[in-house]
Amino acid sequence: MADGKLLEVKNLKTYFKVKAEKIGGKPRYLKAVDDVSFTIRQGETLGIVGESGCGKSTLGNTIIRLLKPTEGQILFEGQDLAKLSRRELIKYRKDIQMIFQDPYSSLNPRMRVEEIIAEPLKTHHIASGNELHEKVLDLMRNVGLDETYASRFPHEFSGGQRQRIGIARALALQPKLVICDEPVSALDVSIQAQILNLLKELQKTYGLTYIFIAHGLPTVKHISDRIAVMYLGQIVELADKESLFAQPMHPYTEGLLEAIPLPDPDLRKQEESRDILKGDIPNALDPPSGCHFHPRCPYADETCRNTCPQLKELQPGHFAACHHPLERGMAGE
Amino acid sequence: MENRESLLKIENLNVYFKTENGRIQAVKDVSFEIGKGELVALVGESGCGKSITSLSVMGLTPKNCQVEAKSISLGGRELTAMKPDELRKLRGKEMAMIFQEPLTSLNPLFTIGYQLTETIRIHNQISKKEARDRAVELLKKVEIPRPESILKEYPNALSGGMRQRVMIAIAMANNPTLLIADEPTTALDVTIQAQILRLMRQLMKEYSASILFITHDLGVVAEIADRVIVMYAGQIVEQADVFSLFHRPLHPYTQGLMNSTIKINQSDEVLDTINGVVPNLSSMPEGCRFHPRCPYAREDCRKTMPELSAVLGNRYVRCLHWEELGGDQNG
Repeated sequence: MADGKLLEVKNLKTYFKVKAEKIGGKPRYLKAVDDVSFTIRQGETLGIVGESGCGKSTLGNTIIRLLKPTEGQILFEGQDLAKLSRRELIKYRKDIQMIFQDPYSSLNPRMRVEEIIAEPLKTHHIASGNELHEKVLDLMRNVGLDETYASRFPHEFSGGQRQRIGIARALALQPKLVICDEPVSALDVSIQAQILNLLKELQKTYGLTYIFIAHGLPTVKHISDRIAVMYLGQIVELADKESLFAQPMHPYTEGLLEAIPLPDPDLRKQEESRDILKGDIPNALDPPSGCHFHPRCPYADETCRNTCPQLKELQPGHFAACHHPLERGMAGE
Repeated sequence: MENRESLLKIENLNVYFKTENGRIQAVKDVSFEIGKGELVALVGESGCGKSITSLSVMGLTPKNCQVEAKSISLGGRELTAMKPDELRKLRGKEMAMIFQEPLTSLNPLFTIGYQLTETIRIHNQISKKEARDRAVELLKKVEIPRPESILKEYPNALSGGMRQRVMIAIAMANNPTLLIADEPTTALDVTIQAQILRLMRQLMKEYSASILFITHDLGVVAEIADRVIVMYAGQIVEQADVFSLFHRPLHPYTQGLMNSTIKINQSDEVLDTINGVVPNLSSMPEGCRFHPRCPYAREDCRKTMPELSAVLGNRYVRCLHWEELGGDQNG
């Protein structure tokens, strides 16, 4: 892993305006991403994990500038993408590509596979004619698609193969950063493994940098070098995957780890002794005061109810936003 | 299913879909039993026939579906011989079902209270007031805070986890002997999933009900099941108690599923995969249905369809060569 910074996100905020409940009332803001900062090094994979509504997809969409941030900086190779206009963004679009969750809705059903994969190459005037055709076939081979399928339509493919088409399309422009938003969640277990292996292999071959967004910790652990855990719009913990799993510092991370069902009945957690996080994820429009996690946190006290903790580096490379970080990991070995 | 008394017994279930391209078979010759108080997990990937099997038991298959079975019996009563009316009386009382997406299985136009008391009053001759009291009781059982006020809410006001709790309350309203749960936690977040699984376990003990739990997640299976049935391409390929299955999966498909599941307590650089894709129902491979994806397939696998045979005491496997494959220890 090289150490050059590829992307640096600083105090990023993406708020959505929500209609007031009453006519003439104040509009409210849904703080989907609320003051998020992190960096990604060239060639690494940063996993972003969290439950529904935590803002992980909004974060991905903001970095790739499908959404305009409310505040903050997105420094890509030193250039702040947050400030660029649509026109100025075009040349960066090549460098950052996205792979989507649903391989059914993210491919145009009226386009042939060849056209789908060729489209970005045409848009950016990279290749045409025979060269374009060759490039497309090359991409198909690289993602494990039979090149004889080039003239078929998406509906003729299974979910896993469609995801391969989406990956080929994302790689067509030789991007530096690929944002994968739940790329395997819609797939069957045996197919998930195929796609994860493919993503890893492609990363090695092309020196790609990934942001891997998912709600499942096992998947994220498998593919990531570092992991950021999000809760209600904020990063609550960020660390190397080994230290995150061996020694979670935020009680939410601990709860997430504890909740994962392990595929081994001998490790079946004793029902009574098991600490299951209580309560529901709060409404993002009306997050709890102080630390957003305090109503579900077994260790919460007065400070937690009043003051929102900052993300701090508690050990080298291990960040957590908690007033009472856990001393030692309870889950994982 | 060692010494348990049997509750549900399915013999030779075949289910067909009528399509424009003729009749295709979704479930082929499925037989199994569920004991009293037992939790059986039905596992497989999309299209393996696990959901349609459970819908056949409930008598809720879609119109274009043909269900043929030698016998489906619940607590000694033969369901296949029943008229729709009789079956309707059993549904919601003797057997109940919860689904993957609680938002689509609750009616958005009626309050939680209405939907819960409706289920109670259909099967019991009691007053509205009594039904309401029972409804509050049930919501408490499924650990819903402020049950009285939740009764007045509409489904959209509840979170996914709360809705699934309501679904469970409705399903348990008449103390069913059999609960069928079709991917009940798949749409939920992992911390909520843990809560719901625990709740189901508790209720099962309390009501001494049996559960048929349909899932694709081997983690969930390991966590809660007593016994496991693995389906592939419309057939049962393996059946065993949960410990034996995870210690020594016999069928190459079960082995493949386990190896491609990410284990959080170990790190593998490359995941094992099952090559290829699930075959199309209308063009099933000859011989063993798994042979095109099986790493151990031989000549005879291409020609002969293996029987589901009893092996090693209480287990069943559908594979010609299971003995030679050994079945690696999981882990």
